[in-house]
Amino acid sequence: MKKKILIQTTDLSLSFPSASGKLQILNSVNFSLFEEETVALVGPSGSGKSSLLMLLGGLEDSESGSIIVNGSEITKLSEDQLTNLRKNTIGIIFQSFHLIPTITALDNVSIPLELAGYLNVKNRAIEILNEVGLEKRLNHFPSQLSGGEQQRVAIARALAIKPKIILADEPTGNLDQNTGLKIIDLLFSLNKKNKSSLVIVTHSTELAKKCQRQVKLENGKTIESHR
Amino acid sequence: MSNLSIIKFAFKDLRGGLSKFWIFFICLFFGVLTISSIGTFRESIKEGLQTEASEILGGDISLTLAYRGASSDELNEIKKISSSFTEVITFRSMVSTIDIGDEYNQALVQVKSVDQKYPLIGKVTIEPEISIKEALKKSGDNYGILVENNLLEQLNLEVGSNLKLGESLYKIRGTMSSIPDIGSNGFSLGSKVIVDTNSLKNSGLLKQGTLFETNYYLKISNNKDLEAVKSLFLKKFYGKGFRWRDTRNPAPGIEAVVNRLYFFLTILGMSGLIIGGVGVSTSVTSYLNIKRGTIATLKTIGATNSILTRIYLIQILAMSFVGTSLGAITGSYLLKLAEPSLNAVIPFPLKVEVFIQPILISLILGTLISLIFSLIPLFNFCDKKITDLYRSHSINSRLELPNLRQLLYMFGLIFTLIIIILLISPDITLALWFIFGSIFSFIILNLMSLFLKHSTKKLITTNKINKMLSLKLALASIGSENGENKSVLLSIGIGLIILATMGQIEKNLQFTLTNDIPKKAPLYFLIDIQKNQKESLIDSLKEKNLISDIKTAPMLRGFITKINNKDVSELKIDHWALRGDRGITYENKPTTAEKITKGEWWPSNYEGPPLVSFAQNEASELGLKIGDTITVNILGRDLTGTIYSFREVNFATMGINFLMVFNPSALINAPHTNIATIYAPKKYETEIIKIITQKFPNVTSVSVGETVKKVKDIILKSSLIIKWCAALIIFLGFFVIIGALSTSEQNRIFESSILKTLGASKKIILLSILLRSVIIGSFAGLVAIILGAIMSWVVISYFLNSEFSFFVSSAIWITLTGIFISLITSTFFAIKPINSKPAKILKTID
Repeated sequence: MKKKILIQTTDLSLSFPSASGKLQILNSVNFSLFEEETVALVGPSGSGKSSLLMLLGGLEDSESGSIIVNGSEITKLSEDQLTNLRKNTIGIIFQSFHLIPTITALDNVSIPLELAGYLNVKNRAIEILNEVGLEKRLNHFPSQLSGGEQQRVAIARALAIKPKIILADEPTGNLDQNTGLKIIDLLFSLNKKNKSSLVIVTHSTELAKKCQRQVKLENGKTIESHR
Repeated sequence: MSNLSIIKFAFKDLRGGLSKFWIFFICLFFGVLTISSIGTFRESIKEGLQTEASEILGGDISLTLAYRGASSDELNEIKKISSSFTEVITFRSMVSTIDIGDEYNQALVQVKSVDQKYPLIGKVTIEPEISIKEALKKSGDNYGILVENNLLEQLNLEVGSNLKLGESLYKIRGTMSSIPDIGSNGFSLGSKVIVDTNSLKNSGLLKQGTLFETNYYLKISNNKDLEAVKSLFLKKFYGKGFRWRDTRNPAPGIEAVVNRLYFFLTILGMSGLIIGGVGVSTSVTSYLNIKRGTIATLKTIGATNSILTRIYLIQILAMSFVGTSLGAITGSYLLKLAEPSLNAVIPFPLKVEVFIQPILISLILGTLISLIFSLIPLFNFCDKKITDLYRSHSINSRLELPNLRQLLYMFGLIFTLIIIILLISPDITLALWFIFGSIFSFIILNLMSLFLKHSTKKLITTNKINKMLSLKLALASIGSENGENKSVLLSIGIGLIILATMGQIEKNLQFTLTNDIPKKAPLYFLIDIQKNQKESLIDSLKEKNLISDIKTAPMLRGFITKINNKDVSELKIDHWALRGDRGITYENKPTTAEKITKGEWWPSNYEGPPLVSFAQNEASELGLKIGDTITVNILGRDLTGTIYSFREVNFATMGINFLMVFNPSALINAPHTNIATIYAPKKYETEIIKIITQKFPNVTSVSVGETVKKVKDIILKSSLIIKWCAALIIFLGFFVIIGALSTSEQNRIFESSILKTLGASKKIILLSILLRSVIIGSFAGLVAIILGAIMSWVVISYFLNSEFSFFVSSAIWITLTGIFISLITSTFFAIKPINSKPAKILKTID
């Protein structure tokens, strides 16, 4: 069965001003993501991988080009419209976890559910935290959790709303190798269970190989390869 | 997300970052405490006046007549409406000591002549403890007199000494430390003395035309309606010259002074709160800066700007509530603690309680200031892009302007604040000037801060500066984007503007009182000169060549009752000329000191209907034209005159100046006395006064120098209050600066570590920090001098109607204060950066 395209970019460009002139990060990038697909964004440092991920999540404004996410042209959406799109469709996982330090693990996972208007927020949050193996850490604050545990909370938070798209920016970047492997396994299994699409930025070739497709970025352009 | 969830999250999220709010608390707490204490002080005085209204007034009702006592009809009516009453006559006079060898002293006194029923309410505290009857009764040849302690000191006398008042001799039977009916005392030039009215029969005082007031203090039964009684009495004796006061407003003079003082101190308190607002803004910016990660994450997972704004607004409001309510309540209770000390110092009753109104007003003002100064950083952070929030970890001082909707919220809050200030002000014009001045100062300081930032950025590229490393570092710091310099400049700037304005006003007032007046002013004012004494008085003084000049004029007193046949009470004009009685005279021709500005003088020996020449400035203020009619009540009779001319009159010369001059035929036959001004060298003062008191004991001499000194003392005491308030403002400013500097301390430690790594010595780093503070302090001082000069010029020229002079010494002092504050705070915060270990700092950051 032909899978639906969830993300499509056309001639996407991004640049930043700098003291020595314009710095071109992405140059007419064309990218697509299908339903239930896993894609790795790879490339050397400074190639624009994270920038592309931020653009796909509506966290960054492009210079030119189009980005269609789940049927909506997001370059034309307002800040609030983008927020609404994210809270219903996209889950984002960061390298630095970005948990809210002043609330517990349970509250960190509850918030996106409340924002999305879920009923039975607490039950769902407990359910997803159990799935990531943190049933005994529900009322711990982020400062009381290890790096791996914090990333699990971040994964739970991203998947709580059952998003169609998960964007992960070097999710194991701040973790040791063993922990990183466990996190990746967890991420992939939950992604499969959720039937969501996953775009993951990574430097790790092993992780990249786990994905169905790898997209390499070099000098702001994409070079695609299949697994 | 439901509102309840938003509130719950807001309070949970407060955990991380409460420490950033300490400056926020202090600024709001002290700012609100000041306003709350001032408001409680005013309410306490009002409550004290109300609770002890009868005692302050001397009765339930006070009726006053000028120049005469009540007729038998009037007395009968007074007896009818009251259960009891007492008669008290007040006037100024001279007392003198009996010759003791070469010693001869005299003093101006305020005489209170009482009957047997005095005091009707309250008591006179006498030392030694004797009753007032005992103190004043005739014993042997002499009646007794009660005096104040300062008179004994002034005349070098003691209890038991003799004192001459008019032609009569009195024995000092005791001193009085407190008397009831303070509401009727007003501003007194001389010390108070009390005598029995019977004793004045042979004193030669209280002759026809002498300036005296007869007060009747009445007690009425509880169930009488004061307004009804007043209405009937005044209707029956309309135009007879009665002035009515009752317990509903026992001391309008005191209340007016207190209201002015309250307004003035509240303005100073508000200035402190505005400085506090700068601290609030810095605190909120600093707090939101550590929350940038949380804000970014919330945006990522679906929180809109509206939700974010609500979350952090709830936090700000919660912190504001704690700070303002603690400040408001503490301010109120602080006054309670100070009540015993205040009662010992303040001459009218103070009844301190917890009053809701000042607490509420200070709470509202504090909350509004907190919101106004928090909204811009709040809107900025909530509107920032997610990637900007995640990427940068330093405070960005380049705050963007809010959008239209956000600006409307801001203006709405500012407008509400303005309305509240206007509502609590007794003087709308002054309040509007304060508001305008504050907004103007704020805008100018912000613009100047921008100017300083941009010009220092340009300066550091010049060749000369390149060679001076410390100066270059100082200028670079001022031109940087971290924003602390703006907060420092704002808080020092506002404090110094207030000091500069107050300083120039104070200097101008002192200059007017001490320098201009004595050169042109007379040595003495003489009042109550009988018609048949005038010539002999002039001859006696001229005979011994003691005086260079003497001017005389007939003197009557009356109060304006109508303008163009309309009652002044219906005209709703608030002008000093319409409050109380005024001096009135008559002249055949204008004196050389006066210039006719409009109209003309009446012909010599004119005997037609009464004509009036009015003082030009006051006529303009009252809206009078040539041809208008003025009705004055003199000695219980109405006299209506047509305005025939306007005169230029300068009351500041302290010569003989009258608001109204009538043609002679209108008043020459009315009972009156004369006044005179004596111009003489000060060395002849004692001899002049000796002649007057010995030969003309009924004539009262008022020393112009002593009067000026007394007014100067009052101004000096008032300026002490100003200085205390200014100190409080500077104190608040300190905290704001500390807050701003502590927020960016880590940046400075980092910069210092890098510089040390590159070879900069501690001396260079310290010098750059000190130079920066000198530049900012000087700049703030300069701005303050200019704005302070403008604002004080407005106050002196338009509100005090005086000539403005700029005082350089005050200006220099202001600049030095600015530099000093900046230096002290910067030096304190230079310690850590200078002593930091580069490896420790740079390794941690890596």
